[in-house]
Amino acid sequence: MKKFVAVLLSLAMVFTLAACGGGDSSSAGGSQSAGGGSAAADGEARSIVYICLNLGDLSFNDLGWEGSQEAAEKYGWTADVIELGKDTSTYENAFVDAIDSGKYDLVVTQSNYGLSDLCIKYAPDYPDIDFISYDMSTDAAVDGIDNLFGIAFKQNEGSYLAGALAGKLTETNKIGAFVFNDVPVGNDFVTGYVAGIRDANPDAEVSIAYGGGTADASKLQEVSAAMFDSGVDVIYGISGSAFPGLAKEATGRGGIENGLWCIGVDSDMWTVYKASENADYADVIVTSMEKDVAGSIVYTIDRMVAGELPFGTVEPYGIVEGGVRLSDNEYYREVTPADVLEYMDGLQQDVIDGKVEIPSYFDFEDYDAFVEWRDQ
Amino acid sequence: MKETRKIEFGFEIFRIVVALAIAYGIALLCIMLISEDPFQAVYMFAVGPFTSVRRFGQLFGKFIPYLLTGAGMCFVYASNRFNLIGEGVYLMSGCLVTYAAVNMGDMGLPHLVFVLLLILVGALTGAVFGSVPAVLREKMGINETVVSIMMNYALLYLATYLVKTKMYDNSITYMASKQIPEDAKLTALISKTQLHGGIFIGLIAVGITALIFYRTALGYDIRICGANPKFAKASGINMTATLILAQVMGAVLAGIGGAVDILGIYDRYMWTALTNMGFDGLIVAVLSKKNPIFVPLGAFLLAYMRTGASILNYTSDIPIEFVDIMQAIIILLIAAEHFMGRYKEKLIFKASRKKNEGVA
Amino acid sequence: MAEVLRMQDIVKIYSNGFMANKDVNLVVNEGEIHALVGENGAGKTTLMKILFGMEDFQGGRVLLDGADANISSPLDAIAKGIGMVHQHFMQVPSLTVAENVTLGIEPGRGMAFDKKEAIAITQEISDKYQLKVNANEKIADLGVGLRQKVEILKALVRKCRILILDEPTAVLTPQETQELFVQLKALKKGGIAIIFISHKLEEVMELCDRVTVLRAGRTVGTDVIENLNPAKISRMMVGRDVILEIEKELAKPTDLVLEIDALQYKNAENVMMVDGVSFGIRRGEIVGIAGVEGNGQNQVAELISGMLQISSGDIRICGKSVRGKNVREIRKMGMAYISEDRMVYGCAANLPIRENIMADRIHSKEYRKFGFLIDTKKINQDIDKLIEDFEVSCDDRTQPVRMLSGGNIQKVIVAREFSSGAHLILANQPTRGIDVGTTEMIRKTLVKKSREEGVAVLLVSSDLNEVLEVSDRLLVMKDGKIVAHFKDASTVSEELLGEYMLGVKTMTPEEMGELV
Repeated sequence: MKKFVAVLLSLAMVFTLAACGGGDSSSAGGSQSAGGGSAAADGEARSIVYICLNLGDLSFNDLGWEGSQEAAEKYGWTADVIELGKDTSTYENAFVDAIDSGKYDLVVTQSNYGLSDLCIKYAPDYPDIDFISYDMSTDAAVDGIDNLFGIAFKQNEGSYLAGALAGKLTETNKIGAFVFNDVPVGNDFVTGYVAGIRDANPDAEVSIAYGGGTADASKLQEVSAAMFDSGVDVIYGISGSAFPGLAKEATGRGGIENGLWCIGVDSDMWTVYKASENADYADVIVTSMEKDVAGSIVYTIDRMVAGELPFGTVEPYGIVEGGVRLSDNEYYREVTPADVLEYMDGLQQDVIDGKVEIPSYFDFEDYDAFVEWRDQ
Repeated sequence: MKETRKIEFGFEIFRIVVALAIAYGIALLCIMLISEDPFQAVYMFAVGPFTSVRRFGQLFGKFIPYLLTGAGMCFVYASNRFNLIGEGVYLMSGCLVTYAAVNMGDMGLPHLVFVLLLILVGALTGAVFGSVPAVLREKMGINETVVSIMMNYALLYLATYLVKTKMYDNSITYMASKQIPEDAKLTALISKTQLHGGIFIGLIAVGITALIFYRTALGYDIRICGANPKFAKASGINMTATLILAQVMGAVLAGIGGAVDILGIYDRYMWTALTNMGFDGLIVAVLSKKNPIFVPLGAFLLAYMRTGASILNYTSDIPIEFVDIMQAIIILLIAAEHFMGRYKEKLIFKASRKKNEGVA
Repeated sequence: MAEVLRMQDIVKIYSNGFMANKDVNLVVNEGEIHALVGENGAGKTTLMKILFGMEDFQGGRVLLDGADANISSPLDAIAKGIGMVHQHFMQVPSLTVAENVTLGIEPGRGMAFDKKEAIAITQEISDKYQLKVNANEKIADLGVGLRQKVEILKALVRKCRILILDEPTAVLTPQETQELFVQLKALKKGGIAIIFISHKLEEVMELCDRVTVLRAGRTVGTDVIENLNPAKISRMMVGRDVILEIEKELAKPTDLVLEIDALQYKNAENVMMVDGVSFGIRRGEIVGIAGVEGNGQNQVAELISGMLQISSGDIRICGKSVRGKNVREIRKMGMAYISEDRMVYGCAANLPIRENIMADRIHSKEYRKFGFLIDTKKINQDIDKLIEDFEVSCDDRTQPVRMLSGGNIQKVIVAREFSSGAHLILANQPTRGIDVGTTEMIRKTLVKKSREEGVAVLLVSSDLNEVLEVSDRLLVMKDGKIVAHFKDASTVSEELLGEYMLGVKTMTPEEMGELV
């Protein structure tokens, strides 16, 4: 018995070592060809690899892929996608495998689960490849890495406007929000939203509900039912995938005609819903806080092609840069009371002119400081 | 009766080979159907882990923690308890080890001392949390499976809470801890791979587990309690103490596994969902027939499959969900002890009947 | 009378290679009560599980009304008119009698349950067979006897023609037993065939029409009750395979090792299994307990070993009470125990011989090395020596016990218990169902232990030849009490012993004298 195991083990070792040796040489060959072929000067065809967690969320992951494809099409480049899946321990290998393959010279990725760290870690070793990482923090240490550009979305700016709108629309002085998860980006939405409400309507009460990361539509429907029951009349649904739950509940309760308002997130949800099979849900969505991932990626690549992209920095994309905005569609213009519209247009101009100071979650000392501010 | 032993042993090998063949057959068939470049996909799935040093190194990123959680689950499984606390402990240990590493980073401890201290933190985490379901089960008869599964979620949310409130980092936008200081990390044995110093800890742990199993009184007690509790009682074994100890040992090893994993291949603690490493430990223990000596083999097999699947995922057009399904089929067939059991029984019946004919 | 059931040449081999039924034959006629008797492990339960579709079998045929039955599952068995009353009732305590009786065949439309109809159905069957129960009462509120009736009703409602009763009287009081018999006779008149499994031969004599006896997985024979008497049946059960004469010197008993004082034990069903037993055993003597199985002998052994908790009275080993002590502590006091059910309490089937023998002594200092390791060299030496001494035929010490034959498994167990250095050895059915050679070796070793090492031995056995040959003194138990005491076992005849075992004769306390 023991002998058999020993033989089996040693066989396994021999096999692995042999295979390993063989694979080694082929991989070296691969990276050589990469070194020769990817000296992509400006104007030459490039190949994008978009690295994300899982496609199919109709939101953050999908929008990044949409932007990458759009840019590739615009310039006649190629674009591939790599989905990393759930197992965080494999991310680094998959990432390095992609940049080592010699097939790509532009990496577009998020910052989630250490992807921004990986860009920071590996960009210096691969000077022939450019890296764009979106949803980074402006505090990230990217100084001097001249092939890495970070996009930081100012979701707090857009959410500030959403908050101000909510503050003006409410009649019960009770306002709600649902956040997909209690994570820094989510709380940056909350920070802007709460600040906007306080500036527009100091008397309003805000209640915030958090999903557990696996937020689904039925959970948000439950939460919104409870909020409506308690007298809340405006809810900001900060979760693309769970949003139908909120829209459904509000529609069932008579929607805007009954004085119940919803604010969407990430894309222009009224337009999206109007065109979908859930068209009847659209009419409860007064507007949406668009976080324009796709547009921002295309905008960034445009600047890169023009030679204007300041590599080695993380740039905040706010209202001015077109990174975030409140959807300004016909429905918004139609249903919003005229005085509120006037107030919102003015406020938006003030934000663009830099007259308003909007707090960000990333400015807080720590989580407790944020909670204290939020709940005051 | 030597016959039966021969049949069973030969059959075991035969069963695993057939299971692997069927499972890979199904997987290949599926790949053929959905991939545009099936040969490349098949190649990556089967040979992927051996196509470069780094990919081979990725295999060790799984192999090393599997050694620990697999050895740990041997304790639990051999004592015939279905205690899954290893899963939660693994994650909690990663969290607390990160916390300790971040906070002790500037104390200037020598590298080796620092790492060993952090491993100790992981082991203690395992002992503390692992003893809860074990004691509840052995002292009060509360089902250990239910308690451990519920506790796994409690530990997950507790860890997330700790990251949010105690390890807040302004420079990232997602939920993760501050960076683990370089000094705390397990050194990579081959750079840019996941083959790190933790492999020594893993192999030593397997060795100690085997030693405890076959060279100590406790090992005998554990195996007897697991094999037949009524016999254990009748031969005067202290079952309560033995079974608590076995389950706590399992959790301690899972705790060390979490520590080694986080210090070996991560820059930050970032687990916001259960890692499955504890459950995989159970699969390793099943594959190794609860014999710690076979744990490296079982761990290697599972790590090879997981890595092949991961490489298949990022080098081909096959959707990740599909890769998960294929892994599940393979593991199911290998782990199913009764797969082809009828055939085995027939062989034994035949042998037994022959023998009985001789007597009658 | 028409034949309803024929089980022909049934062969059952369990997956560990153990052959539980070897060409067993059983024929049951319409409207008869057919007793299936045999010792524990003779294959009765296995045979009934095959009939009820709970086990598959490897050879032979099951015929119902002369046609192949192909019973695939208990549900299938019920559909084909077979009902089984298990020893442990299959009932939902929180539901009423009617609900339990109609469980799975609930009257009513769709999801709706017609309670009135259920009660009517239950009442109808209950009246027809005079099994009087209140259909509205909750099972949890009923006593064991009534719950058994519900179990029978369940089978009848499903229109069973063959009713299997697995040791139904084990849980009943004598009055309840009599009532059950009346009802069973009524069922018989209704044309139902009843298979009655029991150890209690007087019950068999009273109730049954024909008897089939199994021994060691084989059919010994079937006969009508008129040709039989309890002594005949018990001879068929125990068998005449093993008639061994054991030569032994006269015992020279010295100090008291075991003292039992007014011992009582009530089981979970609150039946008094051991009722005021007192006796003692001295160094160097062997005391046997004879009795028909199920009369409390087994419980006495389990109480001494600590596997069961004493209800009242006391047991002392070398002067120290075992009350409140667990098995480990009692073993430390010098007790060794060969249990009745060797596969359940005697060994861990999947573990090697070595682990099985070391189970009770692995913590001993003798085998310690460097403080925490065990001395494998010494262990291997000792195990090999025991394997040799006890002539265990096996590949080597690492062979799993389940792969050994029954006799060799028992050798492994006695090798452990005889080498533990005990003052007191409890041997509970030590040679049941094993080959002649091993039986002789075990009996001789028991005698040797007492004569050469001065060990006190308690031998519990239903094998008359065994208790008569091996014991110095002999006790007989009936209904949890000691009914006879022979100071010299060698002077007792099997016939006389049989009369005490079956309750035909009872000794007065004066006749028994001092039981130490």
